[in-house]
This record gives sequence, C-alpha cells and structure tokens, in this order.
Amino acid sequence: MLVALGALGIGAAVGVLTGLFGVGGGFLITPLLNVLLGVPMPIAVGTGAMQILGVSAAGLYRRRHEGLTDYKVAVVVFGGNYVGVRLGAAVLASLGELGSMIVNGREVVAVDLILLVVFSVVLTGIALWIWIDARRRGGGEECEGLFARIHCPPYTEFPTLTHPRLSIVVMSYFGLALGFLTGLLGIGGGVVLVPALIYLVGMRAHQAAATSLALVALSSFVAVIVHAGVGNTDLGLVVPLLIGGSVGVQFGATLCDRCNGQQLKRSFALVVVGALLIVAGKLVALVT
Amino acid sequence: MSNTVGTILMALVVPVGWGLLSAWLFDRWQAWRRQERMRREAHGDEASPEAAR
Repeated sequence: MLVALGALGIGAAVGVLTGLFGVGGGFLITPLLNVLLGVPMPIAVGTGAMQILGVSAAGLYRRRHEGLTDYKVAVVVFGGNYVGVRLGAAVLASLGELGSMIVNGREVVAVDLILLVVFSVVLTGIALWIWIDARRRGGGEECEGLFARIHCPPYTEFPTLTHPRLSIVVMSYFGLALGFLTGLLGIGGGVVLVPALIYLVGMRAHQAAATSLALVALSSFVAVIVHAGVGNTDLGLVVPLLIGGSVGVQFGATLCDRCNGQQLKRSFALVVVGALLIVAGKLVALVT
Repeated sequence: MSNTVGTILMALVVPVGWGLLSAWLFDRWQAWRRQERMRREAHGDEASPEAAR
C-alpha cells in the first residue's frame, strides 16, 4: 500500500515535469523507484518502460493533428532501436547474473551499483549539455545537424528537415544507440532524443519534441515486451504511476505556458542535477 | 561463441536492412498517396461546374 502511494507520488511529480518539459520522465522514474521505494533495479527498468509507453502513446494521440511528427525518421530508426533494446536488455540480464560484489568491505548487488554509475554518467552528460546550450542559445532555433556532414551511402531524403539527405546507415546505428539506453536503463530516450534530434539530425525544436514521442512510443513498446517476457515488470506499480502522471501532466502543462524557452531549459537542467544528486547519494550510501 | 557472433551480426545487419527497406517502402507509400490525391483532385475538377463550363 505504502509502495503504491509512493508510486502515485512519483508518478504525479514526474507527470508535472512531463507537462512542463515534454519528456517522458523515464530517466527519473527508474532511479526514483529504486532509491525511494527500494524496487530492485531490473524491475524498476521494466516498470519505467511501461510507464513511458503509456505517457508517450497519450502524448502522440494528443498531437496527432499537429502535423509535426516526422514518421519517416521514426520508422527508419526503429530497426536499430529494436536491436538496441534487445542488446540493452541482454546486457541487463547478464549484469543481473553477476550477483553481489564486495565494495569497501560491504556486500553490494552488482547490477544496482553498475546501473547507478551508468545513470550518474548519463545524467551528468545531459545536465551539462542542456546547461551549456541554454547559455549559448536562447530558444532552440534551427541548426544544421551533425549527421548531414557524415557521408556514408546509401542515403534517403527526409523532406521535413533543413538538410533532408541523410545516411541510412548513420540513422540506423543512431537508433541502435538509443535503443541500447532504453533496454539497459529503462529510459525512453526523450531526454536524450530531443537534443539528439535537434543537434544530430537537424530538426526544429517543436518537430523534435513531436517526433521523439513517436520514437519513444515504439522503443518503449519493444522494451515492455522484452522486459515483460523476463518478468521485469510490476503492474501494481505501473497503475499508480500512470494515474499520478495523468494528473501531474495537466498541472505541468499549465506551468509550461507561463515560462519562456530559456527558463524551461535551465530549470530542466536543475531537475536533472536533482536526480543526479539522488542517484549519487544512493551510490555513496551503497559503498560507504 | 556462435551466439555472440550471431548477436554481433544481428546488431550490424538488421538496423541497416530495416532502414533501407523501411525508407524505400515509406517513399513508395508517399508516392502512392500523392498520386491518389492528384487522381481524386482531377476527378473532382471534372465533376465541378467550372470544369464543365
């Protein structure tokens, strides 16, 4: 009961952030379920993926008439994404078999320790990326994507992009890398994907947010099937997470209307730093 | 060992294979939709009174 109430609270808090910043919140849900509610890391990863599937599918449905989603990008990247999710989940399963290890004279569950370290590295990178970008640029105006400069045939055209001709090989392995993060950490990738679609693929900010929802929905769908297949999901946690999230997201969307782009980016970086401190706190508690 | 090789091959081949096939199918589908739209517009023009005049 207490765990369900905790999940409801986490769902509501992350829902506010989803409404405010337009990300699925998987990067927060997985570590928070582990650190605050004591959910084992593999279960937190699978449950996080289920919550992301719910949130991203709802978001995609709400935006279906806006015409901003580039479905071709989502479909082309999906093959790599699928393989990446399976590889990430396989690595997670192998880590789970490591059992426990002795760190600083204390017995620690190896998979928890390793994933917390990986989370710390990913969260630090994201926080730095967003913070530097918010200082450098005001809004999120158009930029040439890095992938447009990589010449590796065969190519295909994405007509909605500023530089529409991109390598299929590069886009496919881009999907593989994102899928690996989803499979390993249970993050949908929205927090990594939106900046990646802007700076690597060369999308406009609003288009990136809409397209990331389609990609996140596809990759979390695969992740849910893969994790449910090995018993890494907990429906008793997902239901309160989704209920809390659907209430919180409305409140967050109202707050979002009152902030400008730069305020949003800086606040988001602070949220990521907050999550990083929680994860780092758990890491220190584990090893000291 | 063969399992590892299979996984590596899958990681290398499946993403690009899917990318090629899906990009080609997506382009075909969009071309078909464009043709259908043009065909419908052409039929609509013929049926309109202005086209009849």
